[in-house]
Amino acid sequence: MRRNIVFKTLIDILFIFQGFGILGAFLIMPFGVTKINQINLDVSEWSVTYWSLLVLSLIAFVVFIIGVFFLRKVGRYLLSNQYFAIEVIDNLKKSGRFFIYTGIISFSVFVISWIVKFNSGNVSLYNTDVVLPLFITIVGLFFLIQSDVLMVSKGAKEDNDLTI
Amino acid sequence: MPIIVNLDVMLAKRKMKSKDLAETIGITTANLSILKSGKARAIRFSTLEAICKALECQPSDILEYVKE
Repeated sequence: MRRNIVFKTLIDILFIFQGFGILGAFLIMPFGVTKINQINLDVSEWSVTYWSLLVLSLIAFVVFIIGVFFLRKVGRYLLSNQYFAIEVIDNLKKSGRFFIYTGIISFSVFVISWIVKFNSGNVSLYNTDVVLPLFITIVGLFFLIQSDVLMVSKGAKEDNDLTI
Repeated sequence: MPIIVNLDVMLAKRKMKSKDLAETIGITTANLSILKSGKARAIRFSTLEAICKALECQPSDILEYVKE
């Protein structure tokens, strides 16, 4: 029970901070409060590729937040020990799908930025940027599998409950 | 489901109440209600044995197969 509370609290904190992050991205950046010159180039000199990288990163960010949102819904049911509720199964599946989408988009961002670096002659053989998209994809896949396992377990539990 | 539970009929024949049967065989009235209504997915041999013993009947008196 205590683990469930810690899980829900951490997910809530993550969701709130990510929410603030996306608000900051959409509200603060256009006013020039935060600089987005991450590629040692002024924004006015950015090519379409750099802009597409920024847009893709923002999309990945939003998709990740949606995944966390569905995970929050799972946490809500776990607090009341409803491990086999159909809502837990559905929301875990949705969360897993969104995490996989996040992983794929983040990976494509990594690939595009790698190509950009390659073309500019500034390439590294191993880059740790690829670890996070891979991990998020793995977590997403695990959630999908876990959702299927819960579905099978739900059937077994119903069988057990209805055996007199 | 093509398996019909005729527990109501046997209870009426033996003039026994559901509550008394549940107490005799050691299950809850809620579970006996699930069994009577046909919502049960399975029945344990031990439960069937206890019911047959309490109602002095055979399993075939309680369970019936009806072709769908």
